[in-house]
Amino acid sequence: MDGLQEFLEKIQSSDASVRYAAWRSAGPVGAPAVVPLADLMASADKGVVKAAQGALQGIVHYAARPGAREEARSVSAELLKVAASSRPTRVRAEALHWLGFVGDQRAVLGIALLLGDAEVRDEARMALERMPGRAPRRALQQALETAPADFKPNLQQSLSNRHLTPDTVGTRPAR
Amino acid sequence: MAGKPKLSRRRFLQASAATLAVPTILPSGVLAQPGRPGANDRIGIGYIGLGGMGNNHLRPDAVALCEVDANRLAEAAKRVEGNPFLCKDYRYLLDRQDVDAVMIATPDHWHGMQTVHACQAGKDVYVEKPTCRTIQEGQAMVNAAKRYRRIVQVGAQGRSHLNAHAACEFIRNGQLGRISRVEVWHENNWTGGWGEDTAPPPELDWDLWLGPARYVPYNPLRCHFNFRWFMDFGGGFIRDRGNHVLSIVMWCMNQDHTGPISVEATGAPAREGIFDVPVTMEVKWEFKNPDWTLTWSQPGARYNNIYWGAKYYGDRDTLIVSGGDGGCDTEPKAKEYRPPADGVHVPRMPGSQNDAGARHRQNWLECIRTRARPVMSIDIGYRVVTLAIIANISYLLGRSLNWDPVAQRFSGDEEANRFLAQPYRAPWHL
Repeated sequence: MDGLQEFLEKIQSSDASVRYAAWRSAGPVGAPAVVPLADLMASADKGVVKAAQGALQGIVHYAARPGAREEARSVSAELLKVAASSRPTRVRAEALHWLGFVGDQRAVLGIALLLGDAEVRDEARMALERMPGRAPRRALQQALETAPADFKPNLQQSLSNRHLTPDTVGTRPAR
Repeated sequence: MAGKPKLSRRRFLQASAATLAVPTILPSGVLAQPGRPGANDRIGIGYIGLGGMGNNHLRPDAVALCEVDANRLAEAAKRVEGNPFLCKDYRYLLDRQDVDAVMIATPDHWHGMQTVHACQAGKDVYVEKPTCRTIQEGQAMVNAAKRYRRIVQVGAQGRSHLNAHAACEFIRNGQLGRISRVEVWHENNWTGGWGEDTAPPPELDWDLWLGPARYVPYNPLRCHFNFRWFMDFGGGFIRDRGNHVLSIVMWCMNQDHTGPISVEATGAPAREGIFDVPVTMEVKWEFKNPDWTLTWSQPGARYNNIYWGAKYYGDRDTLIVSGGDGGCDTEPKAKEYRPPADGVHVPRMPGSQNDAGARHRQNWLECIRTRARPVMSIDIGYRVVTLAIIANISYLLGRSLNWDPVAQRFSGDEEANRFLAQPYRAPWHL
């Protein structure tokens, strides 16, 4: 925990080179840093926001590396907490963006719940569109049944895109 | 959506489908043969995007102009004779029967979608480099050109440069021996300040500028030129000028229809400022059958004090080819070389102009008339930009990646494959 605190202090340093060194080596710090970094992304200091965003991105990609399923799940769970929180929309949207890369089937339900949240529903849709497997598709289909009229075309778009293959993309007829 | 066009996506596609099905409403030049202007027919060209290269391409006989910045549109209109059709939404331009072909010079995140929609609308296309932003967009562009039988030229005009041609013939005729390594260098990506997120200026439709891209607030440091320094939009010099220099490399190495088997990229982003591409970058791609290595270095060696170029290492000799766009040079030994009668003769683009850009446009216009394959056809353009796209993915992930050039996917890395396509904001889709 001391290590995490030290890491977060460096991310908030007034020295850009200290922030940079912390952000560039953030990957192994992992899931415990996700929520605190999300809080720092709401900082008024642009340098701290950049460092926190960079660190979060590094943690996501490190956790999503091949063979690190449990780390990916831990990071996904923390990202879901941010996405479902009352933090600024920009921060919640960023968490959903990264869930699209690191989230697996266990994250689908949590993301799907946010399809009903007007503030971040489109980021939730795009995260599910990016994720492979049947569960994200089913979540999009189920949401389509109850979604408000102005959001149904977005969901239909994502469902349609999930059917595209390298041989068919760019050739589909008009809906 | 602010500035929502009156022409709906549904109506646009229906119109496109109708255009393909009913010859009576095909564009102006097709009286000679469907989809093919006659030799004496004027080719009606519409211009989409009228900043940098769009302005460079613009000719006085344009029939239609499209630009999301009203000031740019008005300035461009002054350079055109007659009364061109003006709009800020390209779908209106594509709906016009007097437009046979389009020149697309919008920011990179629009290239794929606008090319696909233009092909669906029955227009031939000249699309600026870089070809596209994602692997899926490249596949869509190739498929659309094929499905709708369109001529699609990518604006990597180095392929029409006489010096690049000389280097290509020199190398392909074995003058360097067996080549094991090609080293590309380029000056660093730019750094900048923070700017301020603010309301867009009244002349700019920011929502339409963003189009399919992930939403970000307007900031004067994002738009116009500086979109290049953001991963979501331009992807840095490797996807920008890299598209030029890597195009020449793939041409000289006769590798247009394949790709590397691995990529490893590292880089250092700016510590401060809004730009997010790496300032310095090192990339290594490995190719098999034949085995050779391609590297990209920012800033790299800077041979002959030139900002960017490539050095080819053979077991008999080396060759430097500098630049790769409209400004390209090589060593005298290549420029003076003439292949023997039974040697490899690389087709040289016809045309009398010394200017590679003019030759490249001329090649496109001739191909529209003859339906021949242009020198930088979309399938080649896609293979070239693939190098830059997968390098940026490797940089972002911080690990080396294995690439399958046949399946056009990464092997053994699910997260990397989630970068192959980009979910779009509604209502935009390929």
